[in-house]
Amino acid sequence: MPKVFQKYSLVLALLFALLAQKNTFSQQKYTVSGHIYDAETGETMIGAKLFFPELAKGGVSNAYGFYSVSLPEGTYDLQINYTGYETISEKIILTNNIQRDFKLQPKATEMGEVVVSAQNERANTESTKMGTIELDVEMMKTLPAFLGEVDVLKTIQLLPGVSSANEGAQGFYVRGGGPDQNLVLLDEATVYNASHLFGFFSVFNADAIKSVNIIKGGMPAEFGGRLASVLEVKMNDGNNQRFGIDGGIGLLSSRLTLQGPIVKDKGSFIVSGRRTYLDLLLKAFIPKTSDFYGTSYFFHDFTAKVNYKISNKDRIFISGYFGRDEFSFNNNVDDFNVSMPWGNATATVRWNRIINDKLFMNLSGIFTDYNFQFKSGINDFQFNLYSGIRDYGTKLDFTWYPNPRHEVKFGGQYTYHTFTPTSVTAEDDDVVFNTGGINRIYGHEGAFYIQDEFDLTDVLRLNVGLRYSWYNHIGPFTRYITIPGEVNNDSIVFKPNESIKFYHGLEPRANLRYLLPDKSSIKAGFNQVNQYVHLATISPTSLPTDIWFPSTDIAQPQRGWQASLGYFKNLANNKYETSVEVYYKGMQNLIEYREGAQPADNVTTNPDNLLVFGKGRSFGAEFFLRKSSGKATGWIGYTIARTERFFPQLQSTWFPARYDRTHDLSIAFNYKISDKWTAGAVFVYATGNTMTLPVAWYVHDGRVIFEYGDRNGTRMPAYHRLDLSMTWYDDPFKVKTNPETNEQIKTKKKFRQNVNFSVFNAYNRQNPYFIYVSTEGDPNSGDLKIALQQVALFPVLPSITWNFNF
Amino acid sequence: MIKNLIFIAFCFGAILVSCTKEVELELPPFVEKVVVEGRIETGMPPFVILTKSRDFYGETGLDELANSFVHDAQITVSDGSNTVTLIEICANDIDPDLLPLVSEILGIDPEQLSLINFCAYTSLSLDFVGEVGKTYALNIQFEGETYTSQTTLAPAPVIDSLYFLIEPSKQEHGFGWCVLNDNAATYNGHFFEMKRIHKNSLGEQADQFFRHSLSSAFDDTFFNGLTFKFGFTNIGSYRDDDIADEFKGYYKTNDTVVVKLSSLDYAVFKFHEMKLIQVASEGNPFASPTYIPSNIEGGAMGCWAGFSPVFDTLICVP
Repeated sequence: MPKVFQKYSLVLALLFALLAQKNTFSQQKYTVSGHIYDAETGETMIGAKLFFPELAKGGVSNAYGFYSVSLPEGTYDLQINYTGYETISEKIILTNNIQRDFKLQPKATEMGEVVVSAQNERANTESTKMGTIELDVEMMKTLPAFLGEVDVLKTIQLLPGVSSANEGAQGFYVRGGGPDQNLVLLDEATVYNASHLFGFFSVFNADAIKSVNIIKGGMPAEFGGRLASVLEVKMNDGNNQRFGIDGGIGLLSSRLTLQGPIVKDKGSFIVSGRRTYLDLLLKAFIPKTSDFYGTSYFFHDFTAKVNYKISNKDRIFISGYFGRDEFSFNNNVDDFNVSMPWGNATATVRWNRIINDKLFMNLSGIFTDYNFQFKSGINDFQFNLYSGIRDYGTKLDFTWYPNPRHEVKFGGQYTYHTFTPTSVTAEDDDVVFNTGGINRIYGHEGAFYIQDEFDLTDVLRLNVGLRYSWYNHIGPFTRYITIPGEVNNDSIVFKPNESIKFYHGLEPRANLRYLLPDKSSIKAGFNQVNQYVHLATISPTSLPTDIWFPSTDIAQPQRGWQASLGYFKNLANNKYETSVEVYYKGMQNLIEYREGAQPADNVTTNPDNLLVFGKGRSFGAEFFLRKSSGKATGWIGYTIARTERFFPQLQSTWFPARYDRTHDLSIAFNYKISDKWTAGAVFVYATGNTMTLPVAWYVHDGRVIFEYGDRNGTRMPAYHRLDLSMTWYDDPFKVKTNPETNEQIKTKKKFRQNVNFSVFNAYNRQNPYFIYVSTEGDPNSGDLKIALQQVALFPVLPSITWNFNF
Repeated sequence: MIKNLIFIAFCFGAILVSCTKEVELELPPFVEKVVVEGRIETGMPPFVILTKSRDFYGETGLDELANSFVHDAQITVSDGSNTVTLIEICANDIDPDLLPLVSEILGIDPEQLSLINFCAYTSLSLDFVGEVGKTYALNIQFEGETYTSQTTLAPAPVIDSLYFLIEPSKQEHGFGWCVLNDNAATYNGHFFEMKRIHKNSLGEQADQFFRHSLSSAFDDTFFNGLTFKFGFTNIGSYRDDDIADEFKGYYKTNDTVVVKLSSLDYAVFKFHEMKLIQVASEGNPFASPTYIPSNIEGGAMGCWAGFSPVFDTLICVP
C-alpha cells in the first residue's frame, strides 16, 4: 500500500465504520425520491429544502434537482421550501418506496423582489458548508451594472474574502490565492480565461445562467485541482413548459435568449447570444481615409443547452459555450497591422440516472478549449504567436442516501490536457526565424473521491471526505536545457506517451458544524488541495497573453492547505444571516517569472525554465451580514487579511502578495420601493493594491534609469466607489373585463419588460487604475522632472439597459 | 512587443475617459548606491563614469547632478597581463578644443559637459586599449568598499550590406536597412548605433555622436546562423529642427549615415536590453517592474561594458 494511503487509512476506516454503524441499527425504511422543478419553467431546482416536521428531519435537492429521503414506514407531513416560491405542504404515506417529482410555484407577489440567496432559510447555520455562498442571478440583475452589463464575476467580488484584480476588471482573488487558483466551472467544464475585453467583462451572459456558487473555503472532496476556490456556474436548462424570448439592449451590447420545450415536461432547449457594438462605433469614428482605418474590437458569446428526459430515471443534458474576442489594429501609414483573436469554447454532455431510490448518478463528458492568437505584420516581417489549451475529460459522480443522516458522494474524474504555452513563427521576406517550433505539453490528470455528510449527533454534523489526485506529464515533449549566453544548448526528447513525471497525493477534507441551543452554530473546516496547472503572468494585470501550462518535471504541483473556524447565527426569524470566519492558508510550489524574464524568452525554451518557485501564506477574518427577504435586501461583507509570498530567488524576505488587501468592505443593497420600482446600491472600500515602484534613480548613458525597491513595497491610494441603480418594471398584470359578468379579471401579461438605470462611480472618485513613473526633460540640461502619475480610468458613468421577455 | 500593442489597444478605449494626476506615495527607504558606467571598446582606452544614485523624490537640477559624481575613487583595469590605473578628469579641466572629442566618446553635448562639470575616469595613454578576445577586469576602491567586474570583447559582428528603402507615402524619405550575417558557432549579443555625418542647414555635421534607439540591443536567439535584415530609423531626426515632424524618424535621399554595430558579452547585453526595456515601458500599466541586472560585484549598480564594434557607411540612395 502506498505510504499516502497508509497515512489516511484511519480516516477512511472511520468514514466507513460510521456508515456501517448507522445501517446496522436502522429499521425497515422506505424512500421518497425524485426531482424538484420550477412549475413555470420546468427548471430543476438546486438546494430546495424538504422537511418532515414530525421527525425534524429532511433533505436538500442536489445540483441536478434530485432528492432522496429514507424514513420509517408511516404517514408524514412534507414541506418543501425555496426562497421566492410558494411552500408545498403535503401528506406522504410511506408504505413502500415512492418516486415523486414536485413543482414549486413562484410567489406572484414577489415580482421584482430581490432574492439574495436561493436556498433554504436556515442553510447558513445548519449546513456544514463554510466559505460557501450561493447567489441568485435575478438579484444580480437589479444591482448597479458597470456600463449596463450584468456581470456574475463582479457580483462575486462583493463577497467577503473575494477581491477584484483592478478597477473594472473581472479577475478575482480568493483568500490570498492567485487568479490561477480559482476553478471556474461552466456546466462542469473548466473555463480558463473567464473574461472579455482585456478583463473588463466576464464571459458569462447572465440571461443564460441559472445559479452561481462560490466555495472559498471548506472545499468538499468532490472538487479539487485549485487551491483557492471553486466558482460553479450552471446554465439554465430551458423552459420545458412554453416558448419564451428574453433579451436586452444596452449601451455596450445586446443579447437575446430563446428557450422552449422540445416535448413539454420532457425536454427543452435554450440558446443565448450576446454581442458588443464597439466595432461599429469605431467604424463610425475612423473614416476610410484615416491612417487607422480597419482598427476594430468586438466580442460575442453564444451558449446553448438541450435536455431530454429519456425515462423516469434517465435524463440527458448537452450544453455548450462559445465566446470570442477579436481585436485588430491597423496603421496604414507604416504598413503595420495587428490581429488578436482569443476565446473559450466548452461542451458538456451529461447523463443523469436514478439508479435506485437511494442512488443517483451523473456521468459527464467534458471538452474545453481556450486559445489566444497574436498576428502582426510590418512591411515584410510577419509574426504569429499562438497559445492554447485543450482538455478532454470525463467525470462520474454518485450521490448515495443510505439513511436520513447520511449523504454520501463518491466518484472520479479524468482529464487529458494538451497545453500549447507558446508557439511562435516569424519570417521576414524569405528568412524564416528559428523560434523553436511548437512545443506542446501533454498530461493525464485524474482524481477519485468519497465524502459523507452526516449527523453524528443531533447537534454535530460532519462532512468528511478524502480525495486522491494524480497527474502524469507524458511525451512527446522536448526539454530544453538552456544556458544563458551560450549557443550550444542541449535538449532531451521524450517519445509519445512516455511518462516524464508522475505526481499524486491524498487530499483530506473535513468540515463540522456544532449547533448551539440558540440555533446558531460553530463550524470548523480543514482541507488540503493539489493543483496541477499553473498560470505564468509577467504583467501585473491579467491579460490573455498570460500562459497556462501544467505541472512538469520542473514545475511541481502547487500544494495548499486551509484551516477555518466560523460562527454563524441567524437573527429576526432568519431574516438576517450573520457569520464570522477566520482562516489560515499555507501554499507551496507557487510560481513567478524569474527576474528579467520577458515573454519573448518563452520562444526557444520551455516556459517553466523561466520560473522561480516559492511559497505563500494568507490569514484573515471575514464578517458577513445578509438580509435575504423583504423589501430591503442585501449584504455587508468586511474582510481584514494579510497575504504574503516568499520567493528566495526574487527577495530574501517575505513580501506582500500583489493582491494583499488589509481591509475590504462591500455593501450591496436593494430596496423594493413599489411593484414598479426597485433601487440598488453598491459601495466598496478596499486598501490600495500593492505595487513595486522605484526608490532611486541614476543617469546611465544619458538616460534616467530607476532602481526598483522591495517587491510590492508600495500601496496605491485606497479604492472606494458608490454605484447606484433604479430598475423600473412594467405592470405584470393586465385587467380584462368579462363582457358577460362585467367582472374585472387580472391576467398575466405575455410581454414583460424592465429598464435598468445604473450609475457607476456615483461620486466620481478618481480611483487609481495604475500608477506609473514619468520622466520629462533631459538630466544633463537641468529640466528633468520625475514624478508618479496616477491614471484613473472610469469617472461617473451612467448607463441604461432595456430588458424584455415574452 | 505584445504587451506594448495591448497597451495601444487599451489606450484606444481608455483615452476618452481616463484621467491622470500626479501623486506622491510612500516608498520603501532609499539607500544611496554607487553607479558604474564603464566601457572599453576595441582600439579605445577604458573610461568609467562613477556617480551615486539619488532618492526618487530628490532634486533633479544640474547642481544635484554635478554633486552626484564620485570623486577620488581608485580605479584599475586589467587585461590579465597589464593593469592601468584610471585618472579622474572633469570637463572644466579639459582643453576646450578637446571637448568635442570627449563629447563624441561620452555621447553628451559639449555644452552640457561643461555645464555640470562632467567627470570621468580614464587612462590618457593609448598603450592600453581594448582588444578582441581579451577579458578586462575592473576594480574600484571607494570609501572602503570594493566593486569589481569583468567584460570580454567578443569578435565584431559581420555586416553584409546596408541599403536604403524609400517609403512610398513619404516622397524621398525612407528607412535604412542593415543585413547581418550571424555567426552560428557563438552566442551574439548586439548593440546598434547610428550617426548622420552629412551637413545640416548650419553647415555642421548632422549628428555629433552616435545615437541609439530603444530597440538597439538585440541578440541572435531567433536568427542564430542566419542572414538577418532589420530596418533602422533616423534617431537624430527627433532632435533636429531641420526636419519636419512628418519626416521625423526617416532618412532623406542623399543623407549619409555611419552605423556602428557592436558585439556584447551576455551580461553586458542583458544590462542594455533591460535598461532599454525599462525606458520603453514607461507609463505602460501592463509592464512589470524592470530590475536591471548589473555585472558589478560588491553592491554597486550599472555596468562595465566591453563593446566590439564594426562600422559601415550608408549613403541614402534608393
